[in-house]
Amino acid sequence: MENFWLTQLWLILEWPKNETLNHQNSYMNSLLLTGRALTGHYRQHPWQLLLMWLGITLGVATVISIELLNDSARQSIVKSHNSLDQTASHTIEGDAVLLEKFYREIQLTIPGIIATPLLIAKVNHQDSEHALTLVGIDPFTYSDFGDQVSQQFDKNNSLRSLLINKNTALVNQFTFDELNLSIGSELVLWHKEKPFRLIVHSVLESAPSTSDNLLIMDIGQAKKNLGKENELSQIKLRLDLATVFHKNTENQREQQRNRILDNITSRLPAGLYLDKPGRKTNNLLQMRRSFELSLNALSGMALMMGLFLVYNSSHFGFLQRQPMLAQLRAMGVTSNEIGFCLFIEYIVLAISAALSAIPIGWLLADSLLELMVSGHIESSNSLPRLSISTIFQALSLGVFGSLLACIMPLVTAPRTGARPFGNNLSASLTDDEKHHWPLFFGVLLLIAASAILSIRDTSIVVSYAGIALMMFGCAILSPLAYRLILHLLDRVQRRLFPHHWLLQLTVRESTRNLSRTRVALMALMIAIATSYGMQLMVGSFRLSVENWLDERLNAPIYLRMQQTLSTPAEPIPSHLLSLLKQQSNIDAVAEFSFQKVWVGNRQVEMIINNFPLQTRSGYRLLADNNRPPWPQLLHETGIMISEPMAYHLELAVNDKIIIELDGKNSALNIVGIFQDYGSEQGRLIISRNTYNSIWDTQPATAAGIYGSITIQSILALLSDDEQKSIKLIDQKALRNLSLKVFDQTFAITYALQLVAVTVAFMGLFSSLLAILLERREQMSIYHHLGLSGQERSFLILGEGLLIGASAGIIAIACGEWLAWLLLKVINLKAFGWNLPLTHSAFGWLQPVVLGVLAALLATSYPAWKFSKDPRSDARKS
Amino acid sequence: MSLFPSRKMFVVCFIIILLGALIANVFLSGNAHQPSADKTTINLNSLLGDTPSDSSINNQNTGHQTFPQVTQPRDFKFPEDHLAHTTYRSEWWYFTGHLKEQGQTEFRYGFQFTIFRHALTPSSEKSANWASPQIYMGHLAITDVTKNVHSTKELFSRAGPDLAGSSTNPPKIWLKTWSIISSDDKDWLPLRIKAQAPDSNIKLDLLVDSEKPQILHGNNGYSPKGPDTASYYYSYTRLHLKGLLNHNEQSDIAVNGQGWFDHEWGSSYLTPEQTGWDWFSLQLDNGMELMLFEIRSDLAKLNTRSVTLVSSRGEKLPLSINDVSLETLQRWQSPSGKSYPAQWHLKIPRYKLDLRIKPRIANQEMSLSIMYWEGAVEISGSENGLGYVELSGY
Repeated sequence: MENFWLTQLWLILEWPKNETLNHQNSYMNSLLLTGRALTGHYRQHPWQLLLMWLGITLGVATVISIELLNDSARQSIVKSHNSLDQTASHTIEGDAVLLEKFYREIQLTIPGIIATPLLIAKVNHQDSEHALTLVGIDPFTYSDFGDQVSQQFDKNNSLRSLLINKNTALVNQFTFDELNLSIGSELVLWHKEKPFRLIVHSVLESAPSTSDNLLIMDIGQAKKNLGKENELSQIKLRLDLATVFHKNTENQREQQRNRILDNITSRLPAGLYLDKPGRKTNNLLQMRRSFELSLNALSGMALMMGLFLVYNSSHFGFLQRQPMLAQLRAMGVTSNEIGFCLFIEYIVLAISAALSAIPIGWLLADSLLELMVSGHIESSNSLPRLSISTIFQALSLGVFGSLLACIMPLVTAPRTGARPFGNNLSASLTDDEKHHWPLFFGVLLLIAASAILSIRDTSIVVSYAGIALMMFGCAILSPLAYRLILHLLDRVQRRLFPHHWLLQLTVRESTRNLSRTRVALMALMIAIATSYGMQLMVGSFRLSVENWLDERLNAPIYLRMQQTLSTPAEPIPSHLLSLLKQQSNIDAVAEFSFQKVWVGNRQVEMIINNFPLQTRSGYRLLADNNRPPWPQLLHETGIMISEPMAYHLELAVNDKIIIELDGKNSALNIVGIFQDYGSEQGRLIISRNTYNSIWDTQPATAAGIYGSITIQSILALLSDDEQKSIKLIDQKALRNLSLKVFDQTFAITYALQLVAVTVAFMGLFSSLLAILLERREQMSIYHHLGLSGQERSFLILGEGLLIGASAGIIAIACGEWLAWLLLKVINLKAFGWNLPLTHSAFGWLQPVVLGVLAALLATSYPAWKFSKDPRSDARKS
Repeated sequence: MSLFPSRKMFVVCFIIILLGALIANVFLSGNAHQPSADKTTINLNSLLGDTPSDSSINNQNTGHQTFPQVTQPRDFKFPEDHLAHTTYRSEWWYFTGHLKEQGQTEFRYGFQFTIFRHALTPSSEKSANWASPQIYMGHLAITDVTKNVHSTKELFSRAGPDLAGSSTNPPKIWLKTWSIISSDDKDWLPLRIKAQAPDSNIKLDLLVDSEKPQILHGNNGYSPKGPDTASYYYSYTRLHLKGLLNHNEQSDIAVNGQGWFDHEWGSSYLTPEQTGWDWFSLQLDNGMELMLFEIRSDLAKLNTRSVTLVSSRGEKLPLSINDVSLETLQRWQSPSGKSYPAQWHLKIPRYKLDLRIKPRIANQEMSLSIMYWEGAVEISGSENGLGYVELSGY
């Protein structure tokens, strides 16, 4: 068997050298003849080629674009959180003062320990107000880590300069360019309202290509500048290199490493913890995983729809070429030669389409990236380069998927005899009624899906798999539901319009053609159900967010300082806050500060506020400890956490949590859980007094102003400069702004849905077109039976309408189920939000309208075509 | 029978394509950057400055402070002067010795254990906080004469926060886990020296005492190193050693032996014309000790030699450098390509000493941040004995 394929290839390659071999000539002639005949078909039907090409290209391009987007976001997370962790085997973090003592202890008592201290702090550049990360390192011990930063020490006398010149720093290229620095230039930086100066010694050429503003200086000087004499932020360890006795076996080395690890663990005081580097990064990546999965699911759907388009077009193309293939067989072309030529045809098409998908995917990703950035979704500002693996992935997907979609013609075509099998009409007759397997299989899938989705402690990937099974089960059952609808229609028609033969013919023809339309119906149903389900979910979500915003944003006016996107929130000057509080028409000023903190494995947002009475109604309590929570929050160092935080960290009221911030850990008691849709990561609220008693005072960066005031009346209190430096926004505008951000967040999912549904419609169009054009002979008979052109058009449009409307009706049930699952399973697992499913008044009409429109669009061309004399078509073909 | 492969063939084709895709994907994605596991050692030259002509070294001036220079003899105060003199730029505490296993007669091992202190900038701060300019370096070397093996280790640290330094009560010098600690709260001796290599099974843990008092070299401890440079320098020339040693063995070995201690500090380096030094500490079987160094220079006025001869009773014997002749008899080329003197003929006719000195094993090169030769030597001729020789600048 292999010999045949090898011969074909050998003949092509060695063709010129073997002209004298007659039998090989005849093989080659047959191949060329078949190839010409097959490709000639596309000259007459270019749209068919275009649809196949589009199917592969759009499907693959969508998958590539989502891969690129996800890569971009992942890289952004890794770069921003892992820039100095690359060679550490472990890290120690926790209380900053304890950390410094512990560093000394391990260095003085554990021979062979390879450890280095880091002091990390955010500072602000005076001129540009950029936020920079200042990292204090100990060059002596940092050198043991052999990373890119330490390699810089050998260059430009960097090490000596860092140690000797007291305020010398190395900066990364990003900072150097962004702040327009030069070697030797002076930077004035601020930390906690105190300025200090640094001289740029050199650029860290080999520093991690992070987009963070990074400054590196000697830890001794950094401690002085930052006023953190007895504090450390982190200890990096390299236990993988520790005590590697060259004579020892790997087992003995492992034992040595474990001994050191145990030694460290046993010494660790409460307040410090040993960790693996990148744990926090991994957790952030994990948190993003659910979002990535939903994008992957949508792109996967777009690919499926694209392949469906390929399936339809290739199937239809095969049916059209069947008489030609029979003719070729009659001329002596072997089945092998036909199969080989078809295989080559599909492979060439698949490769070319997949290659075209690469730039299209990149362009699509570029546009989607803008949507992500505007939707405040974690992503980098630029796309990663197309890797060889991405290109290979695209080619594999295109070729493998296309061959799978074309399997029917590839298998069937070579079997074509000198005359085609039977005729197309007889082939369309269905005997589906005799088989019950779709019913059993569909029900089985639904039962399996329900079982999977009802298990609470499964991962989100498993839940997505459950949903995919559910959708697949619904798709398999949809032809049965369609048959039932047709059956009911038949009965209704016979009762209400017993003499309307055209209606009866339409319904019965639809039933007869079911085996052909089944796949198109399934694809259309899935596309509409997905679209409807997603919209229901997003609509319900949006309504919940709107209600929540109405409650939460209860101050008439909000104030913050003017800022650009790249700078952190500026503190509101205290005199401004005092001025506002003194006004008789201002009842209260809520002073907000925000901090990102780690609680266990999760980074959450901490909101610090003085919580005047007016703000408190904005927090809808979902759980409390049977005591009024606000006095506990304000006077007893209690905190309240948001619903997502409680869900993800499995926290309940009265639990204590340890909060890490600025190297100080504090255990605080949870006194309530509140509803919150502002952060899927989780939030906690803490009173300003409690915060100040534990950590350094945090200035307010936003304020809610309560009272009978207007923006104009506040502006009237301020000088021109003050007016320019602040931004005031009223309740309604802030609400609308928040909803705009919400809509932007979902813009990417809408965009992907649109791609998937468009491809699905194109699939439906080509599928119906294929089915209907295939029925030329049948239409010719109807013509001879006396059906007018209009009646024939009615028949075709009617069938299309029945398919579209039925797909829409079935999609209502499937979409409702999908929306419910997305809200109650996926959203809960991914974000921790338990959202109610809400409906708009005539929302259920949308899938039906969508189905009917799609079907009308797809059937209008064949209806128009068959309204003319079908004999002319028959003659043409 | 149809020749066309039909379904089976396609299934095979698809499986092949799928496997190919998977393998290629794994292969391509497996190329991700792995951080290098190579350990980068600190570049000491970069840290200390490459050349003595570097103005920042010769006249270190940061702010208004400068390093005090050694220009005249001083009154030594012990035990305080055993500890660090942080206002001066550099200082070292240096132990060498010869050890034999308990119950054995042959001195199988030689060792060198040194803690160096270097101030990057002048500072009067006493406390060793993170910003302290003091840095410490330790060298540990053990020579196993029987196995012909020489092992070396090095350790670095900044002084702050108390990672390295010196303190009183008891007098102590330490560098991370390496230490020199007096067993007496007030006095320097007896003391204990401890050093363990961080990445191999090399360890030294010795109790140290001396049968002779300290000897002040040069002019009452003022030791000229050139016409304009000098250091303060004293030694304990005959130490008793007892303790444990491990040289990549399964367990520690009980050892005892004899040793030598030097303590030297100052603020000057060699001038560019001075290429290096040869230093000898010799312990003769007749109870005498001899310290000799020569700072080599092609310029006669910069070629500096000094010698101290100690009697068996611990007295410094009168001796001029003109009374001594030293001749190199042989050279040895190290694996690093350096050519070191490897055998000497030392004569001091005034005391009827005619000695031949040769390394106990040839390869005792200290291939560390600073490369030099420092090794155990044996003495024959008019007197037998053991000693240590240091050769730098080759």
